[in-house]
Amino acid sequence: MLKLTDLHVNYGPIKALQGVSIDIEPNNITAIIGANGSGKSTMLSVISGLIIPDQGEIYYKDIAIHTKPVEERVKQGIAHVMEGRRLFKDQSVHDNLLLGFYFRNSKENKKNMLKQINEVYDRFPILGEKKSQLAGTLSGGQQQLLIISMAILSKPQLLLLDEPSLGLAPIVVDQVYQYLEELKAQGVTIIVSEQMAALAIRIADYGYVLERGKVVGKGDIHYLKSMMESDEMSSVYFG
Amino acid sequence: MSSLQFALELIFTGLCVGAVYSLIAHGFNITFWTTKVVNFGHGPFIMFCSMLVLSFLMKGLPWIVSIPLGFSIIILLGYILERFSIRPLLKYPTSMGWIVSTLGLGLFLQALASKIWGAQALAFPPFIFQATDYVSIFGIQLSAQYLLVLVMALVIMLLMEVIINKTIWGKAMKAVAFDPNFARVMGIKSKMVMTLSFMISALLAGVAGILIAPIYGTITPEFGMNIMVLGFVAAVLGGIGSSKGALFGGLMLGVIEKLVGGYISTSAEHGVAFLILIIILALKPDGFFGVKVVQKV
Repeated sequence: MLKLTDLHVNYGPIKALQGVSIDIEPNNITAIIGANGSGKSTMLSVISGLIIPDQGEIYYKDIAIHTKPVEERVKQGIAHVMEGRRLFKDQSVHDNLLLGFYFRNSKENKKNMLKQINEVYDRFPILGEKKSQLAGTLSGGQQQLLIISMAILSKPQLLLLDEPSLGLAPIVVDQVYQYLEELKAQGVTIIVSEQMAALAIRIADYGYVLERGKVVGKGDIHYLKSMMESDEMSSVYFG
Repeated sequence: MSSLQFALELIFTGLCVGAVYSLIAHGFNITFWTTKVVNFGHGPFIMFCSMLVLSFLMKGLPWIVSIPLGFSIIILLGYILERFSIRPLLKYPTSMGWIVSTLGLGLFLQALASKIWGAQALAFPPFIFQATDYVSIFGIQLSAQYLLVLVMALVIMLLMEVIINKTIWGKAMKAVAFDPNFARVMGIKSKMVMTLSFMISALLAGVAGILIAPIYGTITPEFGMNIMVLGFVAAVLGGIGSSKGALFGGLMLGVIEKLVGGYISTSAEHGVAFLILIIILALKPDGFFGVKVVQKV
């Protein structure tokens, strides 16, 4: 589905990624676990195209995409939920959904725009109730649901989520995770970054551990659990 | 003429001229939204478009051809401005290079206009109405030309407001203004929207030039820069980035200017008007409708 080989990204003297190679299986949830500054966000931004790597290659469905602009990758089915709950906070909930839909769908699909936006309201009635309110007035959890809803309006095949649980109440994290599992059941491949390994392993099929821009561990759910219990892991996820 | 009538006429004239300042302020706002750049080349765009239209008219082309032709060229210049003096600089957001690059292109256009059309004032013919056409409303004589300017400026601003708030393209522009990277992830071509904003802004400059030129009667290569300063003041007074602010700031500036001109002296028009504005800004530094800068987390 997705293959990154030997990615390097430098921000001036700071080496954000130093030779990261990963392989993502389709229809899986892959967790990227690492502390602040380990390169998780950079990695996801490189996949979505917001950051162009200094070195390395990205293959999406066996096609090289590392030189393509964001807008083109979006059309090929990659959706990115960025860190820090990014929304058009000065526009209404409904307008945010319109913007999430309109520019990433074909002319044919646009005929069903309102139907598909109404499906979001059916899935999360609270968004329907608040559809004419400014997105910035929603609670943190509601914002996160709106953001993920916007991301999936393009019917992505690959969904990237950058710390979706950050700053959310546990009950809302459950709601978000439950939704991710639903999406996986619908055939979406998901990559989710988390600082808290304990959270990530609740939904992940596979995981990579990042430290200072390098992959320092990888494996399936059993590996991740065993790592969590060992001392090695605690050094990673406490920074 | 009664004193009330005199005051009303001054206010009316002020509103008409002010509406053009509002249009100019709108031009500033549009590019400010998308790129956070204040385009100091805006003034010479105003001048250049009216110069172009005038030279087409003098070649014997009718209004109906000259104006679209002038607008097309000015839109193209807007594209060039964004592509070559703005976009390369946006990679360095902390750089103040855009002040030099926008002002530089503006001054270049001004010099080019002097070279092509000479530095002296050229007569600009009245548009649709004659300078002597008057409409009488509530016993006050209103110049038809002024009235036309007021109505057209207001219609254009209303149209812009509708486009920005009600169409998906307007919403996309607001989206780019709010968070260009997030907009890109939503499939919006942020860079294209930025370029487009400069083209629309250039068109607004052109419209402002065509509206104000018949009122001034003559145009010079410098007139754009002079009137741009007034449009800039209108934008700052209303609160830069605010549409309501641009409208209010422009109209207010126009009225103050004309009242000062009528009751004190026309040569004091700008001086006293600016003094009042400095006082207002000292009391309200963000302008009347200042947009609060949103902290992006």
